[in-house]
Amino acid sequence: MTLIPDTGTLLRAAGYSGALVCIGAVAARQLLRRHWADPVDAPAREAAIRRLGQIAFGAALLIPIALFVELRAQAAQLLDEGESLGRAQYDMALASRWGAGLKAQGVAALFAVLAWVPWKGRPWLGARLTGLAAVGLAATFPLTGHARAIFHGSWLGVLCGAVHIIAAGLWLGTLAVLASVAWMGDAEGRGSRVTRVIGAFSVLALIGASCTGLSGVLTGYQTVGSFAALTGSDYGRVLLLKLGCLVGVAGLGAYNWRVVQPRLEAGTGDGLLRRSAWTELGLGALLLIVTAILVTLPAPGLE
Amino acid sequence: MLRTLRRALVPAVVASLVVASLAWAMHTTLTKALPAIDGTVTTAPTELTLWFNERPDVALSNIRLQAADSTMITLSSTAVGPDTLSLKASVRGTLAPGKYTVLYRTAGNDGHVMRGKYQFTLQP
Repeated sequence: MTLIPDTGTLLRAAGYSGALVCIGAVAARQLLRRHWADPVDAPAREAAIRRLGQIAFGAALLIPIALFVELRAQAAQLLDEGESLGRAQYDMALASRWGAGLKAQGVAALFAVLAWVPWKGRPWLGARLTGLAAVGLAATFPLTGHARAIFHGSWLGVLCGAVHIIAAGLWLGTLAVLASVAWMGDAEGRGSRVTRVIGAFSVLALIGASCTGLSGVLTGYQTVGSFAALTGSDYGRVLLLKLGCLVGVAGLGAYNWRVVQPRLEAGTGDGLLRRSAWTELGLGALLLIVTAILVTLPAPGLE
Repeated sequence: MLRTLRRALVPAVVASLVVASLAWAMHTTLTKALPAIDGTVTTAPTELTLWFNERPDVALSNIRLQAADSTMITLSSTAVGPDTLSLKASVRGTLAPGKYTVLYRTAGNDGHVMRGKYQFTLQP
Protein backbone atom coordinates (compact mmCIF):
# COMPACT_ATOMS: atom_id res chain seq x y z
CA MET A 1 0.00 0.00 0.00
CA THR A 2 1.32 3.43 -0.92
CA LEU A 3 0.50 6.63 0.91
CA ILE A 4 1.41 8.83 -2.07
CA PRO A 5 -1.96 10.16 -3.22
CA ASP A 6 -2.86 9.64 -6.88
CA THR A 7 -5.06 11.99 -8.91
CA GLY A 8 -8.21 10.10 -7.92
CA THR A 9 -7.40 10.42 -4.22
CA LEU A 10 -6.70 14.15 -4.57
CA LEU A 11 -9.94 14.73 -6.49
CA ARG A 12 -11.87 12.72 -3.90
CA ALA A 13 -10.30 14.84 -1.13
CA ALA A 14 -11.23 17.96 -3.11
CA GLY A 15 -14.83 16.73 -3.17
CA TYR A 16 -14.83 16.27 0.61
CA SER A 17 -13.40 19.75 1.07
CA GLY A 18 -16.16 21.04 -1.22
CA ALA A 19 -18.82 19.55 1.05
CA LEU A 20 -17.13 20.89 4.20
CA VAL A 21 -16.79 24.37 2.71
CA CYS A 22 -20.49 24.40 1.70
CA ILE A 23 -21.37 23.64 5.33
CA GLY A 24 -18.81 26.19 6.53
CA ALA A 25 -20.19 28.93 4.24
CA VAL A 26 -23.61 28.64 5.88
CA ALA A 27 -22.14 28.74 9.40
CA ALA A 28 -19.77 31.61 8.51
CA ARG A 29 -22.66 33.69 7.17
CA GLN A 30 -24.51 33.27 10.46
CA LEU A 31 -21.40 34.32 12.41
CA LEU A 32 -20.88 37.40 10.24
CA ARG A 33 -24.53 38.46 10.47
CA ARG A 34 -24.56 38.09 14.22
CA HIS A 35 -21.15 39.51 15.07
CA TRP A 36 -20.80 42.16 12.37
CA ALA A 37 -24.26 43.55 13.08
CA ASP A 38 -23.06 47.11 13.71
CA PRO A 39 -24.00 49.52 10.84
CA VAL A 40 -20.30 50.48 10.66
CA ASP A 41 -19.53 46.88 9.71
CA ALA A 42 -22.23 46.75 7.02
CA PRO A 43 -20.03 47.29 3.90
CA ALA A 44 -17.49 44.70 5.05
CA ARG A 45 -20.29 42.28 5.99
CA GLU A 46 -22.06 42.58 2.63
CA ALA A 47 -18.80 42.15 0.70
CA ALA A 48 -17.88 39.15 2.84
CA ILE A 49 -21.29 37.52 2.35
CA ARG A 50 -21.02 37.99 -1.43
CA ARG A 51 -17.58 36.37 -1.31
CA LEU A 52 -19.07 33.53 0.78
CA GLY A 53 -21.47 32.75 -2.04
CA GLN A 54 -18.64 32.62 -4.56
CA ILE A 55 -16.61 30.33 -2.30
CA ALA A 56 -19.61 28.04 -1.73
CA PHE A 57 -20.19 27.88 -5.50
CA GLY A 58 -16.55 27.03 -6.26
CA ALA A 59 -16.55 24.40 -3.53
CA ALA A 60 -19.81 22.86 -4.74
CA LEU A 61 -18.33 22.49 -8.25
CA LEU A 62 -15.64 20.18 -6.86
CA ILE A 63 -18.19 17.67 -5.55
CA PRO A 64 -19.56 16.33 -8.88
CA ILE A 65 -15.97 15.83 -10.09
CA ALA A 66 -15.19 13.79 -6.97
CA LEU A 67 -18.38 11.78 -7.44
CA PHE A 68 -17.36 10.84 -10.97
CA VAL A 69 -13.96 9.71 -9.65
CA GLU A 70 -15.78 7.55 -7.07
CA LEU A 71 -17.98 6.04 -9.78
CA ARG A 72 -15.00 5.29 -12.01
CA ALA A 73 -13.14 3.61 -9.15
CA GLN A 74 -16.19 1.50 -8.27
CA ALA A 75 -16.72 0.52 -11.92
CA ALA A 76 -13.05 -0.49 -12.18
CA GLN A 77 -13.50 -2.82 -9.19
CA LEU A 78 -16.14 -4.74 -11.16
CA LEU A 79 -13.77 -5.71 -13.96
CA ASP A 80 -13.31 -9.44 -14.40
CA GLU A 81 -10.37 -11.06 -16.15
CA GLY A 82 -10.06 -10.02 -19.78
CA GLU A 83 -12.60 -7.19 -19.55
CA SER A 84 -11.94 -3.53 -20.17
CA LEU A 85 -13.70 -0.68 -18.42
CA GLY A 86 -16.86 0.27 -20.26
CA ARG A 87 -20.51 1.16 -20.02
CA ALA A 88 -21.43 -2.26 -18.57
CA GLN A 89 -19.38 -1.65 -15.39
CA TYR A 90 -20.74 1.89 -14.96
CA ASP A 91 -24.31 0.60 -15.39
CA MET A 92 -23.71 -2.17 -12.84
CA ALA A 93 -22.27 0.28 -10.31
CA LEU A 94 -25.13 2.74 -10.76
CA ALA A 95 -27.79 0.01 -10.52
CA SER A 96 -26.52 -1.12 -7.10
CA ARG A 97 -27.45 0.08 -3.61
CA TRP A 98 -24.07 1.84 -3.58
CA GLY A 99 -25.08 3.51 -6.86
CA ALA A 100 -28.34 4.73 -5.32
CA GLY A 101 -26.27 6.43 -2.61
CA LEU A 102 -24.01 8.01 -5.24
CA LYS A 103 -27.00 9.29 -7.20
CA ALA A 104 -28.42 10.84 -4.01
CA GLN A 105 -25.03 12.56 -3.50
CA GLY A 106 -25.23 13.79 -7.10
CA VAL A 107 -28.63 15.38 -6.48
CA ALA A 108 -27.35 17.07 -3.30
CA ALA A 109 -24.25 18.30 -5.18
CA LEU A 110 -26.36 19.68 -8.03
CA PHE A 111 -28.54 21.44 -5.47
CA ALA A 112 -25.43 22.95 -3.86
CA VAL A 113 -24.23 24.26 -7.24
CA LEU A 114 -27.64 25.73 -8.11
CA ALA A 115 -27.91 27.39 -4.68
CA TRP A 116 -25.29 29.83 -6.01
CA VAL A 117 -27.89 31.47 -8.30
CA PRO A 118 -29.87 33.26 -5.54
CA TRP A 119 -26.67 34.02 -3.54
CA LYS A 120 -26.14 37.02 -5.90
CA GLY A 121 -29.48 38.81 -5.57
CA ARG A 122 -30.95 37.18 -2.46
CA PRO A 123 -28.11 35.94 -0.26
CA TRP A 124 -30.51 34.84 2.49
CA LEU A 125 -32.20 32.45 0.04
CA GLY A 126 -28.83 31.26 -1.29
CA ALA A 127 -27.65 30.59 2.28
CA ARG A 128 -30.81 28.63 3.09
CA LEU A 129 -30.54 26.56 -0.09
CA THR A 130 -26.82 25.95 0.49
CA GLY A 131 -27.70 24.92 4.06
CA LEU A 132 -30.23 22.40 2.76
CA ALA A 133 -27.73 21.13 0.20
CA ALA A 134 -25.07 20.84 2.91
CA VAL A 135 -27.38 18.73 5.08
CA GLY A 136 -28.17 16.65 1.99
CA LEU A 137 -24.46 16.13 1.27
CA ALA A 138 -23.76 15.17 4.88
CA ALA A 139 -26.66 12.71 4.90
CA THR A 140 -25.76 11.10 1.57
CA PHE A 141 -21.93 10.94 1.70
CA PRO A 142 -21.94 8.05 4.21
CA LEU A 143 -24.20 6.02 1.88
CA THR A 144 -21.23 4.94 -0.25
CA GLY A 145 -18.70 4.09 2.44
CA HIS A 146 -17.82 2.02 5.48
CA ALA A 147 -20.54 3.79 7.48
CA ARG A 148 -23.10 1.59 5.66
CA ALA A 149 -21.47 -1.53 7.07
CA ILE A 150 -21.01 -0.58 10.72
CA PHE A 151 -23.56 -1.22 13.50
CA HIS A 152 -24.62 -4.35 11.55
CA GLY A 153 -25.52 -2.23 8.54
CA SER A 154 -28.13 -0.19 10.44
CA TRP A 155 -28.83 3.49 9.82
CA LEU A 156 -26.90 4.33 13.00
CA GLY A 157 -23.71 4.15 10.94
CA VAL A 158 -25.04 6.60 8.36
CA LEU A 159 -26.16 8.93 11.16
CA CYS A 160 -22.69 8.72 12.70
CA GLY A 161 -21.10 9.51 9.32
CA ALA A 162 -23.44 12.45 8.75
CA VAL A 163 -22.60 13.90 12.19
CA HIS A 164 -18.89 13.47 11.34
CA ILE A 165 -19.25 15.47 8.12
CA ILE A 166 -21.44 18.23 9.56
CA ALA A 167 -19.15 18.64 12.57
CA ALA A 168 -16.03 18.72 10.36
CA GLY A 169 -17.76 21.29 8.14
CA LEU A 170 -18.64 23.50 11.12
CA TRP A 171 -15.03 23.33 12.26
CA LEU A 172 -12.70 23.18 9.25
CA GLY A 173 -15.17 24.35 6.61
CA THR A 174 -16.05 27.48 8.59
CA LEU A 175 -12.36 28.11 9.32
CA ALA A 176 -11.53 27.89 5.59
CA VAL A 177 -14.30 30.35 4.72
CA LEU A 178 -13.49 32.77 7.55
CA ALA A 179 -9.78 32.72 6.64
CA SER A 180 -10.86 33.99 3.21
CA VAL A 181 -13.39 36.65 4.25
CA ALA A 182 -12.77 37.75 7.86
CA TRP A 183 -10.12 40.30 6.87
CA MET A 184 -12.29 41.96 4.22
CA GLY A 185 -13.39 45.62 4.43
CA ASP A 186 -11.68 48.84 5.47
CA ALA A 187 -8.65 48.64 7.70
CA GLU A 188 -10.46 50.87 10.19
CA GLY A 189 -12.17 48.69 12.76
CA ARG A 190 -10.90 45.50 11.13
CA GLY A 191 -9.08 44.31 14.22
CA SER A 192 -12.24 44.57 16.32
CA ARG A 193 -14.35 42.87 13.62
CA VAL A 194 -11.93 39.97 13.26
CA THR A 195 -11.67 39.56 17.04
CA ARG A 196 -15.45 39.36 17.46
CA VAL A 197 -16.02 36.85 14.69
CA ILE A 198 -13.05 34.67 15.64
CA GLY A 199 -14.18 34.70 19.27
CA ALA A 200 -17.59 33.38 18.24
CA PHE A 201 -16.00 30.85 15.88
CA SER A 202 -13.88 29.40 18.71
CA VAL A 203 -16.97 28.04 20.45
CA LEU A 204 -18.30 26.58 17.19
CA ALA A 205 -14.88 25.07 16.42
CA LEU A 206 -14.73 23.47 19.86
CA ILE A 207 -18.14 21.83 19.39
CA GLY A 208 -17.31 20.83 15.80
CA ALA A 209 -13.89 19.37 16.68
CA SER A 210 -15.33 17.42 19.62
CA CYS A 211 -18.15 15.93 17.54
CA THR A 212 -15.76 15.18 14.63
CA GLY A 213 -13.39 13.34 16.95
CA LEU A 214 -16.15 11.49 18.77
CA SER A 215 -18.01 10.32 15.66
CA GLY A 216 -14.70 9.48 13.95
CA VAL A 217 -13.49 7.33 16.84
CA LEU A 218 -16.88 5.62 16.96
CA THR A 219 -16.86 4.85 13.23
CA GLY A 220 -13.20 3.80 13.27
CA TYR A 221 -13.67 1.56 16.30
CA GLN A 222 -16.64 -0.12 14.64
CA THR A 223 -14.83 -0.65 11.35
CA VAL A 224 -11.52 -1.84 12.76
CA GLY A 225 -13.06 -4.14 15.35
CA SER A 226 -10.00 -4.76 17.54
CA PHE A 227 -6.86 -3.05 18.80
CA ALA A 228 -4.75 -5.72 17.08
CA ALA A 229 -6.27 -4.76 13.71
CA LEU A 230 -5.43 -1.13 14.39
CA THR A 231 -1.73 -1.82 13.93
CA GLY A 232 -2.01 -5.07 11.99
CA SER A 233 -3.97 -3.88 8.95
CA ASP A 234 -3.53 -1.20 6.28
CA TYR A 235 -6.90 0.28 7.24
CA GLY A 236 -5.92 0.44 10.93
CA ARG A 237 -2.55 2.04 10.22
CA VAL A 238 -4.05 4.71 7.92
CA LEU A 239 -6.74 5.32 10.54
CA LEU A 240 -3.98 5.94 13.09
CA LEU A 241 -2.37 8.38 10.66
CA LYS A 242 -5.70 10.16 10.30
CA LEU A 243 -6.04 10.29 14.06
CA GLY A 244 -2.53 11.78 14.26
CA CYS A 245 -3.48 14.47 11.71
CA LEU A 246 -6.69 15.14 13.64
CA VAL A 247 -4.75 15.59 16.88
CA GLY A 248 -2.36 17.96 15.04
CA VAL A 249 -5.19 20.08 13.61
CA ALA A 250 -7.02 20.10 16.95
CA GLY A 251 -3.79 21.04 18.75
CA LEU A 252 -3.25 23.96 16.41
CA GLY A 253 -6.89 24.98 16.88
CA ALA A 254 -6.38 24.90 20.66
CA TYR A 255 -3.23 27.05 20.22
CA ASN A 256 -5.27 29.56 18.19
CA TRP A 257 -7.93 29.60 20.83
CA ARG A 258 -5.82 29.78 23.98
CA VAL A 259 -2.72 31.69 22.77
CA VAL A 260 -3.45 33.59 19.56
CA GLN A 261 -6.96 34.80 20.34
CA PRO A 262 -5.96 36.64 23.56
CA ARG A 263 -3.19 38.36 21.58
CA LEU A 264 -5.72 39.29 18.93
CA GLU A 265 -7.90 40.86 21.60
CA ALA A 266 -4.85 42.80 22.77
CA GLY A 267 -4.42 44.02 19.19
CA THR A 268 -1.14 42.23 18.42
CA GLY A 269 -2.01 38.82 17.05
CA ASP A 270 -3.46 39.57 13.60
CA GLY A 271 -0.57 38.25 11.49
CA LEU A 272 0.02 35.35 13.84
CA LEU A 273 -3.64 34.30 13.62
CA ARG A 274 -3.59 34.36 9.82
CA ARG A 275 -0.48 32.23 9.66
CA SER A 276 -1.74 29.85 12.29
CA ALA A 277 -5.19 29.54 10.68
CA TRP A 278 -3.69 28.75 7.26
CA THR A 279 -1.32 26.20 8.82
CA GLU A 280 -4.34 24.59 10.51
CA LEU A 281 -6.10 24.51 7.12
CA GLY A 282 -3.00 22.97 5.52
CA LEU A 283 -3.07 20.19 8.09
CA GLY A 284 -6.84 19.92 7.54
CA ALA A 285 -6.19 19.38 3.80
CA LEU A 286 -3.72 16.61 4.69
CA LEU A 287 -6.40 15.11 6.92
CA LEU A 288 -8.83 15.04 3.99
CA ILE A 289 -6.26 13.36 1.72
CA VAL A 290 -5.67 10.68 4.36
CA THR A 291 -9.47 10.26 4.62
CA ALA A 292 -9.68 9.89 0.83
CA ILE A 293 -7.10 7.07 1.02
CA LEU A 294 -8.87 5.47 3.99
CA VAL A 295 -12.25 5.16 2.28
CA THR A 296 -10.76 3.10 -0.55
CA LEU A 297 -9.18 0.54 1.78
CA PRO A 298 -11.01 -2.63 2.72
CA ALA A 299 -11.90 -3.05 6.38
CA PRO A 300 -9.51 -5.27 8.40
CA GLY A 301 -9.98 -8.95 7.65
CA LEU A 302 -11.12 -8.29 4.08
CA GLU A 303 -7.77 -7.44 2.47
CA MET B 1 -20.33 28.36 27.96
CA LEU B 2 -17.31 26.08 28.38
CA ARG B 3 -18.84 24.54 31.49
CA THR B 4 -22.02 23.78 29.53
CA LEU B 5 -19.91 22.23 26.78
CA ARG B 6 -18.04 20.08 29.28
CA ARG B 7 -21.35 18.97 30.80
CA ALA B 8 -22.62 17.99 27.36
CA LEU B 9 -19.42 16.32 26.19
CA VAL B 10 -18.88 13.92 29.08
CA PRO B 11 -22.26 12.15 28.68
CA ALA B 12 -21.74 12.19 24.89
CA VAL B 13 -18.38 10.41 25.25
CA VAL B 14 -19.83 7.83 27.66
CA ALA B 15 -22.87 7.23 25.43
CA SER B 16 -20.63 6.86 22.38
CA LEU B 17 -18.45 4.26 24.05
CA VAL B 18 -21.53 2.28 25.04
CA VAL B 19 -22.93 2.51 21.50
CA ALA B 20 -19.53 1.56 20.04
CA SER B 21 -19.51 -1.67 22.00
CA LEU B 22 -22.95 -2.71 20.73
CA ALA B 23 -22.03 -4.11 17.34
CA TRP B 24 -19.18 -4.53 14.93
CA ALA B 25 -18.92 -3.76 11.28
CA MET B 26 -20.51 -6.22 8.92
CA HIS B 27 -18.86 -7.12 5.64
CA THR B 28 -20.01 -9.65 3.12
CA THR B 29 -18.52 -13.12 3.50
CA LEU B 30 -19.55 -16.48 2.08
CA THR B 31 -21.17 -18.69 4.72
CA LYS B 32 -22.31 -21.74 2.70
CA ALA B 33 -22.92 -22.92 -0.83
CA LEU B 34 -24.65 -25.55 -2.93
CA PRO B 35 -22.82 -27.60 -4.19
CA ALA B 36 -21.01 -27.45 -0.87
CA ILE B 37 -17.62 -25.77 -0.45
CA ASP B 38 -14.93 -28.41 -1.17
CA GLY B 39 -17.71 -31.00 -1.37
CA THR B 40 -18.29 -33.87 -3.79
CA VAL B 41 -21.59 -34.36 -5.63
CA THR B 42 -22.76 -37.44 -7.53
CA THR B 43 -25.27 -35.74 -9.83
CA ALA B 44 -24.45 -32.79 -12.07
CA PRO B 45 -25.75 -29.59 -10.43
CA THR B 46 -28.14 -27.47 -12.50
CA GLU B 47 -27.82 -24.47 -10.26
CA LEU B 48 -25.19 -22.89 -8.02
CA THR B 49 -26.41 -21.16 -4.86
CA LEU B 50 -24.23 -19.13 -2.52
CA TRP B 51 -25.23 -17.79 0.91
CA PHE B 52 -23.64 -14.78 2.57
CA ASN B 53 -23.69 -13.31 6.07
CA GLU B 54 -25.44 -10.16 4.82
CA ARG B 55 -27.73 -9.29 1.93
CA PRO B 56 -25.55 -9.22 -1.18
CA ASP B 57 -26.04 -6.44 -3.71
CA VAL B 58 -27.09 -8.41 -6.78
CA ALA B 59 -26.18 -5.57 -9.16
CA LEU B 60 -22.53 -5.83 -8.10
CA SER B 61 -22.48 -9.63 -7.91
CA ASN B 62 -21.70 -12.40 -10.33
CA ILE B 63 -21.03 -16.12 -10.16
CA ARG B 64 -18.75 -17.86 -12.66
CA LEU B 65 -17.81 -21.50 -13.03
CA GLN B 66 -14.44 -22.76 -14.21
CA ALA B 67 -13.63 -26.33 -15.19
CA ALA B 68 -10.37 -28.06 -14.22
CA ASP B 69 -8.87 -27.22 -17.64
CA SER B 70 -9.61 -23.50 -16.99
CA THR B 71 -12.45 -23.29 -19.52
CA MET B 72 -15.39 -21.21 -18.37
CA ILE B 73 -18.78 -22.92 -18.15
CA THR B 74 -21.73 -20.86 -19.35
CA LEU B 75 -24.08 -19.80 -16.55
CA SER B 76 -27.24 -17.73 -16.50
CA SER B 77 -26.97 -14.21 -15.13
CA THR B 78 -26.67 -14.03 -11.36
CA ALA B 79 -29.92 -13.49 -9.49
CA VAL B 80 -31.23 -13.39 -5.94
CA GLY B 81 -31.40 -16.92 -4.51
CA PRO B 82 -34.06 -18.64 -2.41
CA ASP B 83 -33.72 -15.98 0.28
CA THR B 84 -32.36 -12.44 0.44
CA LEU B 85 -28.98 -13.60 1.79
CA SER B 86 -28.28 -15.75 -1.25
CA LEU B 87 -27.34 -15.56 -4.90
CA LYS B 88 -27.88 -18.15 -7.59
CA ALA B 89 -26.94 -18.90 -11.18
CA SER B 90 -28.17 -21.75 -13.38
CA VAL B 91 -25.82 -24.04 -15.28
CA ARG B 92 -26.45 -24.09 -19.01
CA GLY B 93 -25.95 -27.65 -20.25
CA THR B 94 -24.69 -30.67 -18.33
CA LEU B 95 -21.42 -30.74 -16.45
CA ALA B 96 -18.91 -33.48 -17.10
CA PRO B 97 -17.31 -35.28 -14.15
CA GLY B 98 -14.34 -33.42 -12.70
CA LYS B 99 -13.22 -30.66 -10.38
CA TYR B 100 -14.82 -27.22 -10.71
CA THR B 101 -13.99 -23.82 -9.28
CA VAL B 102 -16.78 -21.39 -8.45
CA LEU B 103 -15.63 -17.78 -8.67
CA TYR B 104 -17.83 -15.13 -7.16
CA ARG B 105 -17.90 -11.38 -6.79
CA THR B 106 -20.28 -9.56 -4.49
CA ALA B 107 -20.67 -6.51 -2.28
CA GLY B 108 -22.75 -5.54 0.71
CA ASN B 109 -24.22 -2.28 1.89
CA ASP B 110 -20.98 -0.31 1.72
CA GLY B 111 -20.32 -1.24 -1.91
CA HIS B 112 -16.88 -2.72 -1.18
CA VAL B 113 -16.40 -5.42 -3.78
CA MET B 114 -15.41 -8.84 -2.43
CA ARG B 115 -14.10 -11.67 -4.56
CA GLY B 116 -13.71 -15.28 -3.61
CA LYS B 117 -13.68 -18.82 -4.93
CA TYR B 118 -14.26 -22.37 -3.81
CA GLN B 119 -14.14 -25.80 -5.39
CA PHE B 120 -16.41 -28.80 -5.68
CA THR B 121 -16.02 -32.14 -7.41
CA LEU B 122 -18.55 -33.92 -9.60
CA GLN B 123 -18.01 -37.68 -9.25
CA PRO B 124 -21.01 -39.70 -10.46
